[in-house]
Amino acid sequence: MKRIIIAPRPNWRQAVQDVGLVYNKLPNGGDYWNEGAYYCFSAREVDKLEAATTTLHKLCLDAAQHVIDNNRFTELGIPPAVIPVIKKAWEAEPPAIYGRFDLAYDGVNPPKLLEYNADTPTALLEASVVQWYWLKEVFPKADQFNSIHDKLVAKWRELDEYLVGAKLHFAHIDDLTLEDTMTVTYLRDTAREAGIERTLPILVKDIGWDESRKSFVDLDNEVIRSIFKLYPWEWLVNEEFGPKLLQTYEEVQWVEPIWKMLLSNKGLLPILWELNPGHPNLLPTYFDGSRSMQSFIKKPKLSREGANVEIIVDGKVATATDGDYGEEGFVYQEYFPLHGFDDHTPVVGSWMIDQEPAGIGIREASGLVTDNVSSFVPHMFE
Amino acid sequence: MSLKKKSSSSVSLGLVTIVSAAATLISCGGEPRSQAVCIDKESKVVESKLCEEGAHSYHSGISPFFYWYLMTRGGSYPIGSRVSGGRSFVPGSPEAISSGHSTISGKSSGSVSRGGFGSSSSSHGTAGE
Repeated sequence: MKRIIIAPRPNWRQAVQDVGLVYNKLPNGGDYWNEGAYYCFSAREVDKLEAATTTLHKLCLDAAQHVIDNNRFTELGIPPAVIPVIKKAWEAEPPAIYGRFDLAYDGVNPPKLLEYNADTPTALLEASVVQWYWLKEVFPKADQFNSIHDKLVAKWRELDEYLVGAKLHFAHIDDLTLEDTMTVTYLRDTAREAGIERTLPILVKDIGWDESRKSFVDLDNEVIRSIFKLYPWEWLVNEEFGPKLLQTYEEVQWVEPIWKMLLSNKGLLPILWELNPGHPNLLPTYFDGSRSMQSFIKKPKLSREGANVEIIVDGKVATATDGDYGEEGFVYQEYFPLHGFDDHTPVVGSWMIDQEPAGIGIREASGLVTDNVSSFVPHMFE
Repeated sequence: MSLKKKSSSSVSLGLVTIVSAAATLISCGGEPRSQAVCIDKESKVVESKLCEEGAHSYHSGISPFFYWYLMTRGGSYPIGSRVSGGRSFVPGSPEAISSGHSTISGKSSGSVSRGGFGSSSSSHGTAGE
Protein backbone atom coordinates (compact mmCIF):
# COMPACT_ATOMS: atom_id res chain seq x y z
CA MET A 1 0.00 0.00 0.00
CA LYS A 2 1.62 3.19 -1.23
CA ARG A 3 0.47 6.75 -1.64
CA ILE A 4 1.69 7.97 -5.00
CA ILE A 5 1.67 11.57 -6.25
CA ILE A 6 0.43 11.98 -9.82
CA ALA A 7 -0.66 14.82 -12.09
CA PRO A 8 -4.45 15.15 -12.11
CA ARG A 9 -6.25 14.82 -15.43
CA PRO A 10 -6.35 18.29 -17.03
CA ASN A 11 -10.15 18.14 -17.26
CA TRP A 12 -10.67 16.39 -13.91
CA ARG A 13 -13.08 18.95 -12.52
CA GLN A 14 -15.50 18.53 -15.42
CA ALA A 15 -14.88 14.78 -15.56
CA VAL A 16 -15.92 14.14 -11.96
CA GLN A 17 -18.85 16.52 -12.20
CA ASP A 18 -20.17 14.78 -15.30
CA VAL A 19 -20.48 11.53 -13.38
CA GLY A 20 -22.28 13.10 -10.44
CA LEU A 21 -19.70 14.61 -8.11
CA VAL A 22 -21.38 17.99 -7.82
CA TYR A 23 -20.48 18.23 -4.12
CA ASN A 24 -16.76 18.69 -4.63
CA LYS A 25 -16.44 21.89 -2.62
CA LEU A 26 -15.47 21.36 1.02
CA PRO A 27 -16.62 23.68 3.81
CA ASN A 28 -13.03 24.97 4.05
CA GLY A 29 -13.02 25.91 0.34
CA GLY A 30 -10.80 23.00 -0.75
CA ASP A 31 -11.63 20.22 -3.17
CA TYR A 32 -13.17 17.00 -1.87
CA TRP A 33 -11.98 14.92 -4.82
CA ASN A 34 -8.18 14.66 -4.91
CA GLU A 35 -6.67 12.84 -7.85
CA GLY A 36 -3.31 14.53 -7.32
CA ALA A 37 -2.49 11.28 -5.53
CA TYR A 38 -3.71 7.71 -5.51
CA TYR A 39 -3.24 4.63 -3.36
CA CYS A 40 -1.65 1.61 -4.96
CA PHE A 41 -2.29 -1.79 -3.36
CA SER A 42 -0.92 -5.23 -4.05
CA ALA A 43 -3.42 -7.98 -4.86
CA ARG A 44 -2.50 -9.59 -1.55
CA GLU A 45 -3.39 -6.43 0.38
CA VAL A 46 -6.72 -6.25 -1.40
CA ASP A 47 -7.41 -9.87 -0.47
CA LYS A 48 -6.61 -9.00 3.14
CA LEU A 49 -9.07 -6.10 3.12
CA GLU A 50 -11.73 -8.27 1.53
CA ALA A 51 -11.24 -11.08 4.04
CA ALA A 52 -11.26 -8.64 6.99
CA THR A 53 -14.53 -7.15 5.72
CA THR A 54 -16.15 -10.58 5.53
CA THR A 55 -14.91 -11.40 9.03
CA LEU A 56 -16.12 -8.10 10.50
CA HIS A 57 -19.54 -8.56 8.91
CA LYS A 58 -19.88 -11.90 10.63
CA LEU A 59 -18.64 -10.55 13.98
CA CYS A 60 -21.14 -7.68 13.75
CA LEU A 61 -24.08 -9.98 13.05
CA ASP A 62 -23.03 -12.17 15.98
CA ALA A 63 -22.75 -9.09 18.20
CA ALA A 64 -26.23 -7.95 17.13
CA GLN A 65 -27.61 -11.37 18.05
CA HIS A 66 -25.83 -11.07 21.40
CA VAL A 67 -27.40 -7.65 22.05
CA ILE A 68 -30.85 -9.12 21.37
CA ASP A 69 -30.31 -12.30 23.41
CA ASN A 70 -28.89 -10.39 26.38
CA ASN A 71 -31.14 -7.35 26.17
CA ARG A 72 -28.28 -4.84 25.96
CA PHE A 73 -30.27 -2.21 24.05
CA THR A 74 -29.87 0.44 26.75
CA GLU A 75 -26.09 0.41 26.30
CA LEU A 76 -26.68 1.33 22.66
CA GLY A 77 -29.05 4.15 23.62
CA ILE A 78 -32.01 2.45 21.91
CA PRO A 79 -35.38 3.60 23.33
CA PRO A 80 -37.58 0.87 24.90
CA ALA A 81 -40.44 1.37 22.43
CA VAL A 82 -38.14 0.47 19.54
CA ILE A 83 -36.88 -2.82 20.99
CA PRO A 84 -39.81 -5.12 20.07
CA VAL A 85 -39.83 -3.70 16.54
CA ILE A 86 -36.09 -4.35 16.12
CA LYS A 87 -36.51 -7.89 17.44
CA LYS A 88 -39.30 -8.67 14.99
CA ALA A 89 -37.43 -7.15 12.07
CA TRP A 90 -34.31 -9.14 12.97
CA GLU A 91 -36.35 -12.36 12.94
CA ALA A 92 -38.01 -11.53 9.63
CA GLU A 93 -34.65 -10.91 7.91
CA PRO A 94 -35.85 -8.09 5.68
CA PRO A 95 -33.68 -6.95 2.78
CA ALA A 96 -30.66 -4.78 3.52
CA ILE A 97 -28.69 -3.09 0.78
CA TYR A 98 -25.49 -1.63 2.04
CA GLY A 99 -23.05 -0.62 4.78
CA ARG A 100 -19.55 0.78 5.03
CA PHE A 101 -16.87 -0.35 7.46
CA ASP A 102 -14.29 2.33 8.19
CA LEU A 103 -10.95 0.60 8.56
CA ALA A 104 -7.51 1.73 9.64
CA TYR A 105 -5.05 -0.02 7.35
CA ASP A 106 -1.37 0.59 6.68
CA GLY A 107 -0.53 -2.39 4.47
CA VAL A 108 1.45 -3.96 7.32
CA ASN A 109 -0.87 -4.59 10.26
CA PRO A 110 -4.24 -6.33 9.86
CA PRO A 111 -7.06 -3.90 8.97
CA LYS A 112 -8.65 -2.54 12.17
CA LEU A 113 -12.30 -1.59 12.49
CA LEU A 114 -12.78 2.07 13.42
CA GLU A 115 -16.56 2.05 13.03
CA TYR A 116 -19.41 0.65 10.98
CA ASN A 117 -21.77 2.95 9.07
CA ALA A 118 -24.47 0.38 8.48
CA ASP A 119 -27.53 2.59 8.19
CA THR A 120 -26.86 5.76 6.16
CA PRO A 121 -23.43 5.49 4.55
CA THR A 122 -22.46 8.00 1.88
CA ALA A 123 -19.22 8.48 -0.10
CA LEU A 124 -20.88 5.83 -2.27
CA LEU A 125 -20.90 7.55 -5.65
CA GLU A 126 -17.24 8.51 -5.37
CA ALA A 127 -16.26 4.93 -4.49
CA SER A 128 -18.54 3.14 -6.93
CA VAL A 129 -18.54 5.52 -9.90
CA VAL A 130 -16.08 8.42 -9.79
CA GLN A 131 -12.95 6.42 -9.00
CA TRP A 132 -14.06 3.73 -11.48
CA TYR A 133 -14.14 6.27 -14.33
CA TRP A 134 -10.79 7.63 -13.09
CA LEU A 135 -9.29 4.13 -13.31
CA LYS A 136 -10.62 3.55 -16.82
CA GLU A 137 -9.02 6.79 -18.02
CA VAL A 138 -5.79 6.86 -16.05
CA PHE A 139 -4.90 3.18 -15.55
CA PRO A 140 -7.12 1.29 -18.01
CA LYS A 141 -5.17 -1.93 -17.58
CA ALA A 142 -5.07 -1.91 -13.78
CA ASP A 143 -7.71 -3.31 -11.46
CA GLN A 144 -9.62 -1.73 -8.59
CA PHE A 145 -11.28 -3.27 -5.57
CA ASN A 146 -14.65 -1.94 -6.59
CA SER A 147 -17.54 -3.98 -7.91
CA ILE A 148 -19.97 -1.87 -5.89
CA HIS A 149 -22.03 -0.91 -8.92
CA ASP A 150 -22.34 -4.47 -10.24
CA LYS A 151 -23.29 -5.75 -6.80
CA LEU A 152 -25.85 -3.02 -6.16
CA VAL A 153 -27.59 -3.78 -9.45
CA ALA A 154 -27.54 -7.50 -8.67
CA LYS A 155 -28.96 -6.85 -5.19
CA TRP A 156 -31.85 -4.74 -6.46
CA ARG A 157 -32.64 -7.39 -9.05
CA GLU A 158 -32.93 -9.93 -6.26
CA LEU A 159 -34.91 -7.54 -4.09
CA ASP A 160 -37.47 -6.64 -6.73
CA GLU A 161 -39.77 -9.53 -5.88
CA TYR A 162 -39.84 -8.61 -2.17
CA LEU A 163 -40.86 -5.03 -2.80
CA VAL A 164 -44.51 -4.24 -2.26
CA GLY A 165 -46.66 -1.47 -3.69
CA ALA A 166 -46.61 0.26 -7.04
CA LYS A 167 -43.57 2.41 -6.34
CA LEU A 168 -40.24 2.29 -4.59
CA HIS A 169 -39.75 5.60 -2.81
CA PHE A 170 -36.32 7.04 -2.10
CA ALA A 171 -36.29 9.53 0.75
CA HIS A 172 -33.54 12.02 1.49
CA ILE A 173 -33.14 15.49 2.92
CA ASP A 174 -33.02 18.68 0.88
CA ASP A 175 -29.30 19.10 1.38
CA LEU A 176 -27.63 22.21 0.01
CA THR A 177 -24.43 20.37 -0.93
CA LEU A 178 -26.48 17.77 -2.89
CA GLU A 179 -24.34 14.98 -1.41
CA ASP A 180 -27.34 13.08 -0.04
CA THR A 181 -29.46 13.97 -3.07
CA MET A 182 -26.84 12.53 -5.43
CA THR A 183 -26.30 9.43 -3.30
CA VAL A 184 -29.99 8.65 -3.50
CA THR A 185 -30.19 9.57 -7.19
CA TYR A 186 -27.34 7.13 -7.83
CA LEU A 187 -29.07 4.37 -5.87
CA ARG A 188 -32.17 4.96 -7.98
CA ASP A 189 -30.03 4.55 -11.10
CA THR A 190 -28.80 1.19 -9.85
CA ALA A 191 -32.37 0.13 -9.03
CA ARG A 192 -33.53 1.22 -12.48
CA GLU A 193 -30.69 -0.68 -14.12
CA ALA A 194 -31.96 -3.73 -12.27
CA GLY A 195 -35.35 -3.25 -13.89
CA ILE A 196 -37.15 -1.38 -11.09
CA GLU A 197 -38.71 1.43 -13.16
CA ARG A 198 -41.05 2.71 -10.50
CA THR A 199 -38.62 4.70 -8.33
CA LEU A 200 -39.78 8.03 -6.92
CA PRO A 201 -37.77 10.49 -4.84
CA ILE A 202 -39.32 12.20 -1.84
CA LEU A 203 -37.94 14.59 0.73
CA VAL A 204 -38.07 13.21 4.27
CA LYS A 205 -40.06 16.26 5.41
CA ASP A 206 -42.65 15.64 2.66
CA ILE A 207 -43.57 12.17 3.92
CA GLY A 208 -47.18 12.45 5.04
CA TRP A 209 -49.25 10.52 7.55
CA ASP A 210 -52.81 9.73 6.52
CA GLU A 211 -54.80 9.30 9.71
CA SER A 212 -57.81 7.78 7.95
CA ARG A 213 -55.75 5.09 6.23
CA LYS A 214 -53.20 4.81 9.08
CA SER A 215 -50.44 4.90 6.51
CA PHE A 216 -47.54 7.00 5.35
CA VAL A 217 -48.23 8.68 2.03
CA ASP A 218 -46.23 10.47 -0.67
CA LEU A 219 -46.98 13.88 -2.18
CA ASP A 220 -49.69 12.36 -4.38
CA ASN A 221 -51.23 10.89 -1.22
CA GLU A 222 -50.40 7.43 -2.43
CA VAL A 223 -49.59 4.96 0.32
CA ILE A 224 -45.86 4.31 0.73
CA ARG A 225 -45.27 0.56 0.80
CA SER A 226 -41.57 0.26 -0.02
CA ILE A 227 -39.08 2.95 0.85
CA PHE A 228 -35.33 3.44 0.91
CA LYS A 229 -34.33 6.23 3.28
CA LEU A 230 -31.05 8.06 3.60
CA TYR A 231 -31.97 9.22 7.09
CA PRO A 232 -30.79 7.62 10.33
CA TRP A 233 -33.11 5.37 12.26
CA GLU A 234 -32.29 7.08 15.55
CA TRP A 235 -33.67 10.31 14.08
CA LEU A 236 -36.78 8.71 12.54
CA VAL A 237 -37.90 6.97 15.72
CA ASN A 238 -37.37 10.04 17.88
CA GLU A 239 -39.30 12.45 15.67
CA GLU A 240 -43.02 13.29 15.76
CA PHE A 241 -44.03 10.48 13.38
CA GLY A 242 -41.77 8.00 15.22
CA PRO A 243 -44.59 6.27 17.16
CA LYS A 244 -46.67 5.90 13.95
CA LEU A 245 -43.64 4.41 12.22
CA LEU A 246 -43.22 1.83 14.98
CA GLN A 247 -46.93 0.94 14.89
CA THR A 248 -46.94 0.38 11.14
CA TYR A 249 -43.39 -0.94 10.69
CA GLU A 250 -44.45 -4.34 9.42
CA GLU A 251 -46.72 -2.91 6.75
CA VAL A 252 -43.91 -1.05 5.02
CA GLN A 253 -40.72 -2.40 3.45
CA TRP A 254 -38.09 -0.07 4.94
CA VAL A 255 -34.60 -0.17 3.47
CA GLU A 256 -32.29 -0.17 5.39
CA PRO A 257 -34.30 -2.18 7.96
CA ILE A 258 -34.65 -0.92 11.54
CA TRP A 259 -32.36 -3.59 12.99
CA LYS A 260 -29.46 -1.67 11.45
CA MET A 261 -29.76 0.47 14.61
CA LEU A 262 -27.85 -2.32 16.35
CA LEU A 263 -24.91 -2.06 13.96
CA SER A 264 -24.74 1.62 13.11
CA ASN A 265 -23.93 2.54 16.65
CA LYS A 266 -20.52 3.04 18.17
CA GLY A 267 -21.79 1.20 21.25
CA LEU A 268 -21.34 -1.93 19.16
CA LEU A 269 -17.55 -1.47 19.29
CA PRO A 270 -17.03 -2.25 23.01
CA ILE A 271 -19.42 -5.20 22.66
CA LEU A 272 -17.41 -6.54 19.71
CA TRP A 273 -14.21 -6.28 21.77
CA GLU A 274 -15.84 -7.87 24.80
CA LEU A 275 -17.02 -10.84 22.70
CA ASN A 276 -13.77 -11.17 20.72
CA PRO A 277 -10.95 -9.88 22.93
CA GLY A 278 -7.65 -9.57 21.11
CA HIS A 279 -9.19 -10.09 17.66
CA PRO A 280 -6.71 -8.84 15.00
CA ASN A 281 -9.36 -6.77 13.17
CA LEU A 282 -10.62 -5.02 16.29
CA LEU A 283 -9.24 -2.30 18.54
CA PRO A 284 -9.69 -2.41 22.32
CA THR A 285 -12.82 -0.37 23.05
CA TYR A 286 -14.67 0.23 26.32
CA PHE A 287 -17.84 1.85 27.61
CA ASP A 288 -16.55 2.82 31.02
CA GLY A 289 -13.45 4.87 30.25
CA SER A 290 -9.98 4.65 28.78
CA ARG A 291 -8.79 2.11 31.40
CA SER A 292 -5.03 1.72 30.94
CA MET A 293 -4.90 3.12 27.38
CA GLN A 294 -2.51 6.06 27.01
CA SER A 295 -3.58 6.88 23.44
CA PHE A 296 -7.25 6.61 22.65
CA ILE A 297 -10.25 8.17 20.91
CA LYS A 298 -13.31 9.20 22.87
CA LYS A 299 -16.36 9.29 20.61
CA PRO A 300 -20.11 9.61 21.18
CA LYS A 301 -22.14 6.48 20.48
CA LEU A 302 -24.17 8.21 17.80
CA SER A 303 -22.01 11.03 16.48
CA ARG A 304 -21.70 11.64 12.75
CA GLU A 305 -19.02 13.06 10.45
CA GLY A 306 -16.40 13.02 13.17
CA ALA A 307 -18.29 15.38 15.52
CA ASN A 308 -17.51 15.56 19.28
CA VAL A 309 -14.46 13.35 18.97
CA GLU A 310 -11.45 13.69 21.23
CA ILE A 311 -8.09 12.08 20.47
CA ILE A 312 -5.71 11.57 23.37
CA VAL A 313 -2.13 10.69 22.44
CA ASP A 314 0.26 9.71 25.24
CA GLY A 315 -2.10 11.10 27.83
CA LYS A 316 -2.49 14.51 26.15
CA VAL A 317 -5.39 15.87 24.10
CA ALA A 318 -4.04 15.87 20.53
CA THR A 319 -7.21 17.06 18.87
CA ALA A 320 -10.86 17.64 19.69
CA THR A 321 -13.83 18.43 17.43
CA ASP A 322 -17.04 20.36 18.16
CA GLY A 323 -20.59 19.20 17.75
CA ASP A 324 -23.82 18.54 19.57
CA TYR A 325 -23.55 14.80 20.26
CA GLY A 326 -22.61 12.98 23.42
CA GLU A 327 -25.83 12.96 25.48
CA GLU A 328 -26.19 9.27 24.59
CA GLY A 329 -22.79 8.44 26.15
CA PHE A 330 -19.31 7.73 24.82
CA VAL A 331 -17.01 4.88 23.90
CA TYR A 332 -13.24 4.80 24.35
CA GLN A 333 -11.30 3.17 21.52
CA GLU A 334 -7.56 2.60 21.34
CA TYR A 335 -5.85 5.05 19.02
CA PHE A 336 -4.28 3.36 16.02
CA PRO A 337 -1.65 5.62 14.44
CA LEU A 338 -1.19 5.43 10.67
CA HIS A 339 2.35 6.05 9.50
CA GLY A 340 4.02 6.01 6.11
CA PHE A 341 1.68 8.29 4.20
CA ASP A 342 3.41 11.63 4.88
CA ASP A 343 0.97 13.73 6.87
CA HIS A 344 -2.07 11.94 5.52
CA THR A 345 -4.40 9.71 7.50
CA PRO A 346 -6.18 7.37 5.09
CA VAL A 347 -9.35 5.66 6.24
CA VAL A 348 -10.44 2.76 4.08
CA GLY A 349 -14.21 2.68 3.64
CA SER A 350 -14.95 -0.96 2.87
CA TRP A 351 -18.36 -1.57 1.38
CA MET A 352 -20.70 -4.42 2.14
CA ILE A 353 -23.44 -4.87 -0.43
CA ASP A 354 -25.89 -7.11 1.36
CA GLN A 355 -23.74 -9.99 2.61
CA GLU A 356 -20.73 -9.47 0.36
CA PRO A 357 -17.64 -7.25 0.45
CA ALA A 358 -17.85 -5.10 -2.68
CA GLY A 359 -14.97 -2.66 -2.73
CA ILE A 360 -13.27 0.27 -1.07
CA GLY A 361 -13.10 4.06 -1.15
CA ILE A 362 -10.38 5.97 0.63
CA ARG A 363 -10.87 9.23 2.43
CA GLU A 364 -7.96 11.00 3.97
CA ALA A 365 -7.66 13.69 6.55
CA SER A 366 -4.68 15.94 6.83
CA GLY A 367 -5.26 15.88 10.58
CA LEU A 368 -6.25 12.97 12.80
CA VAL A 369 -10.05 12.91 12.48
CA THR A 370 -11.86 11.89 9.28
CA ASP A 371 -14.47 14.62 9.22
CA ASN A 372 -16.45 16.59 6.67
CA VAL A 373 -13.32 18.27 5.30
CA SER A 374 -11.56 15.01 4.48
CA SER A 375 -10.83 14.37 0.82
CA PHE A 376 -11.43 11.33 -1.35
CA VAL A 377 -8.40 9.78 -3.07
CA PRO A 378 -8.82 7.07 -5.74
CA HIS A 379 -7.04 3.73 -5.66
CA MET A 380 -5.90 0.89 -7.91
CA PHE A 381 -4.12 -2.41 -7.54
CA GLU A 382 -1.87 -4.55 -9.66
CA MET B 1 -4.87 -14.45 -4.76
CA SER B 2 -7.88 -13.81 -6.96
CA LEU B 3 -7.63 -14.01 -10.70
CA LYS B 4 -11.02 -12.54 -11.36
CA LYS B 5 -11.23 -8.78 -11.82
CA LYS B 6 -12.50 -6.97 -8.77
CA SER B 7 -13.82 -3.91 -10.56
CA SER B 8 -17.31 -3.41 -11.96
CA SER B 9 -17.70 -4.54 -15.54
CA SER B 10 -19.55 -1.38 -16.52
CA VAL B 11 -20.99 1.63 -14.75
CA SER B 12 -23.89 3.31 -16.49
CA LEU B 13 -25.71 6.35 -15.19
CA GLY B 14 -29.00 7.93 -16.07
CA LEU B 15 -30.59 10.14 -13.45
CA VAL B 16 -27.20 11.02 -11.96
CA THR B 17 -26.15 12.64 -15.23
CA ILE B 18 -29.37 14.60 -15.47
CA VAL B 19 -29.28 15.86 -11.88
CA SER B 20 -25.58 16.75 -12.25
CA ALA B 21 -26.33 18.79 -15.34
CA ALA B 22 -29.21 20.51 -13.57
CA ALA B 23 -27.11 21.22 -10.49
CA THR B 24 -24.36 22.71 -12.63
CA LEU B 25 -26.82 24.94 -14.42
CA ILE B 26 -28.26 26.08 -11.13
CA SER B 27 -24.88 26.95 -9.68
CA CYS B 28 -23.90 28.84 -12.85
CA GLY B 29 -27.16 30.75 -13.08
CA GLY B 30 -27.30 31.46 -9.37
CA GLU B 31 -30.84 30.16 -9.15
CA PRO B 32 -31.73 28.09 -6.11
CA ARG B 33 -34.16 25.86 -8.00
CA SER B 34 -34.38 24.61 -11.55
CA GLN B 35 -37.63 24.80 -13.39
CA ALA B 36 -38.91 22.26 -15.84
CA VAL B 37 -41.13 23.16 -18.79
CA CYS B 38 -42.55 20.88 -21.41
CA ILE B 39 -41.38 21.52 -24.97
CA ASP B 40 -41.92 20.01 -28.38
CA LYS B 41 -39.31 19.00 -30.96
CA GLU B 42 -38.99 22.63 -32.10
CA SER B 43 -38.13 23.73 -28.54
CA LYS B 44 -41.50 25.45 -28.18
CA VAL B 45 -43.18 25.41 -24.79
CA VAL B 46 -46.32 23.27 -24.77
CA GLU B 47 -48.82 22.20 -22.12
CA SER B 48 -47.27 20.07 -19.35
CA LYS B 49 -49.84 17.32 -19.82
CA LEU B 50 -48.31 16.47 -23.21
CA CYS B 51 -45.07 15.61 -21.45
CA GLU B 52 -46.89 13.58 -18.84
CA GLU B 53 -48.55 11.55 -21.59
CA GLY B 54 -45.25 11.45 -23.50
CA ALA B 55 -43.57 9.92 -20.50
CA HIS B 56 -45.94 7.04 -20.76
CA SER B 57 -45.11 6.38 -24.41
CA TYR B 58 -41.40 6.68 -23.67
CA HIS B 59 -41.63 3.84 -21.22
CA SER B 60 -43.48 1.80 -23.80
CA GLY B 61 -40.45 2.11 -26.04
CA ILE B 62 -41.81 4.77 -28.42
CA SER B 63 -39.70 7.90 -28.95
CA PRO B 64 -41.23 10.84 -27.16
CA PHE B 65 -42.48 13.85 -29.09
CA PHE B 66 -42.37 16.07 -26.05
CA TYR B 67 -39.60 16.66 -23.56
CA TRP B 68 -39.10 18.18 -20.17
CA TYR B 69 -36.58 20.95 -20.37
CA LEU B 70 -34.61 22.13 -17.33
CA MET B 71 -34.33 25.91 -17.40
CA THR B 72 -31.08 27.60 -16.51
CA ARG B 73 -32.76 30.53 -14.86
CA GLY B 74 -36.15 31.57 -13.60
CA GLY B 75 -38.65 33.61 -15.56
CA SER B 76 -41.86 32.83 -17.29
CA TYR B 77 -42.13 30.66 -20.36
CA PRO B 78 -45.60 31.03 -21.86
CA ILE B 79 -46.95 28.33 -24.14
CA GLY B 80 -45.64 28.88 -27.66
CA SER B 81 -42.42 30.61 -26.61
CA ARG B 82 -39.09 29.08 -27.51
CA VAL B 83 -36.59 27.99 -24.90
CA SER B 84 -32.82 28.28 -25.16
CA GLY B 85 -29.79 28.29 -22.92
CA GLY B 86 -30.58 25.15 -20.99
CA ARG B 87 -29.39 21.77 -22.05
CA SER B 88 -31.26 18.84 -20.58
CA PHE B 89 -34.01 17.11 -22.45
CA VAL B 90 -35.61 14.70 -20.10
CA PRO B 91 -38.37 12.25 -20.81
CA GLY B 92 -40.45 11.46 -17.76
CA SER B 93 -42.14 13.65 -15.21
CA PRO B 94 -40.15 16.41 -13.53
CA GLU B 95 -41.06 15.10 -10.10
CA ALA B 96 -39.32 11.88 -10.97
CA ILE B 97 -36.05 13.65 -11.71
CA SER B 98 -35.18 14.96 -8.30
CA SER B 99 -37.26 15.71 -5.26
CA GLY B 100 -34.77 18.39 -4.29
CA HIS B 101 -35.52 20.34 -7.43
CA SER B 102 -39.23 19.93 -7.73
CA THR B 103 -41.70 22.61 -6.84
CA ILE B 104 -44.67 20.33 -6.39
CA SER B 105 -46.76 20.51 -3.27
CA GLY B 106 -48.97 17.85 -1.79
CA LYS B 107 -52.53 17.42 -2.93
CA SER B 108 -54.83 18.63 -0.22
CA SER B 109 -56.52 16.00 1.85
CA GLY B 110 -58.15 16.47 5.22
CA SER B 111 -56.63 13.51 6.98
CA VAL B 112 -53.01 13.91 5.82
CA SER B 113 -50.43 15.68 7.93
CA ARG B 114 -46.83 16.32 6.95
CA GLY B 115 -43.65 17.47 8.59
CA GLY B 116 -43.51 14.75 11.24
CA PHE B 117 -40.15 13.62 9.88
CA GLY B 118 -37.11 15.67 9.06
CA SER B 119 -36.66 17.90 12.11
CA SER B 120 -33.41 16.26 13.27
CA SER B 121 -31.67 17.14 10.04
CA SER B 122 -32.12 20.88 10.50
CA SER B 123 -29.00 21.22 12.63
CA HIS B 124 -26.93 19.03 10.29
CA GLY B 125 -25.96 19.66 6.67
CA THR B 126 -26.44 16.05 5.71
CA ALA B 127 -28.04 12.85 6.95
CA GLY B 128 -25.52 10.48 5.42
CA GLU B 129 -22.12 9.80 6.92
